[in-house]
Amino acid sequence: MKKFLTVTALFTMAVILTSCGAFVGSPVVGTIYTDVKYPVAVTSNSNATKVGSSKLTSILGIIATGDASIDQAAKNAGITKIHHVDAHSTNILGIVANYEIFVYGE
Amino acid sequence: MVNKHKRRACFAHPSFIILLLLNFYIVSAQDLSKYYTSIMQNDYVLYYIAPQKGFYNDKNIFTYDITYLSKSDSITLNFSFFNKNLLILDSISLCINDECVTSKLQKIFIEQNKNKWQCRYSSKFSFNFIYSFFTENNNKPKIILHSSSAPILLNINKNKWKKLSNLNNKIFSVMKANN
Repeated sequence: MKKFLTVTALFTMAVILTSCGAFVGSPVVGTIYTDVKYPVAVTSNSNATKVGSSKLTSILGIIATGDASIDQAAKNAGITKIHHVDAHSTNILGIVANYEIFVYGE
Repeated sequence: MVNKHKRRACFAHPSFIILLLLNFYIVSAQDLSKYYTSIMQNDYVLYYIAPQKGFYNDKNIFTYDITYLSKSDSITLNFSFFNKNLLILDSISLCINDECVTSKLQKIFIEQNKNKWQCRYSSKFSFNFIYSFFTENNNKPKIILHSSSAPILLNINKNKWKKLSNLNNKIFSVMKANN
C-alpha cells in the first residue's frame, strides 16, 4: 500500500511539474479540482440580447478537441455586435479539462 | 496506537480516494451555475441555458441551447442538427403529452463539420410552453424537424430525460422567481 501511494504521489507530482495532464489556462488553477468563471473581453456595446458558447475539451493532456474561439461562439448565436466575453474552466485531477467561452451580444 | 494506524490506513485506501472524488463530482453536479448563466441588463435579465444534448435520430445528434430575456413572453431555442446529408429545415415541432407546438425556423448557418453537416437554426416559442416542455418528467417528449423531405423524429432516452428535466426545472424556477 505504501509503495502504491508513493508511486501515485510521484506520478501526480511528475504530471503537475511537467505541465502534463489536462489543464486549461485560467487565472487560478486547482490541481485537484477547478471550476472557475472569469472575464475575457468587454466592448463599449450595451444591451446584450443573445448569448453564444463554444467549448473545447482535453483528456489527460493527450487528446484535446473542440473550438472555443470567440468567432465560433458568436456565430453559434448569430451575434454580430459583441458586448462582452466570459470564460468558464473546469478540471478534475488533470484527467478531464473543459474550457468554455460565452459571448454576449446582439 | 493500533487504532491510529487503522484510521490512517482507512484514509489512504483507494476506495476512500475514489469516494472523495465522487463526492467532488456530486457536489459540482448540483451546482446550477455550471448549466446556465444570467446577466443583468438595464431593464431585464438575460438568461442562457448552456447547450444540452440527448435527443437523437439514428446516429444523428441534436444539441440545443435556450436564451431568455426576463419579462418577455417568448424564448429562443437555438439548435444544431448533425446529419450525414445536407438538410434545409423549415420548422420544428416540440411534442409533449400529445400536444405539439410548431415554430418556423430561422437559419443561422449550415457547415460541413468532419463527415457531417451541421445545420444550425433558431426558433421562438412561448415561455410557458417551453417551461412545460422542458420540465415535464413523467412523459418522454419528442421533437420533429420538418424539411422538404420526410420529417425527422428525435427521441430521447428516458433516464437522460429525467435528469435533464430535473435540472431544467431548477433553472426555470430561478427564471420564474426573478421574473
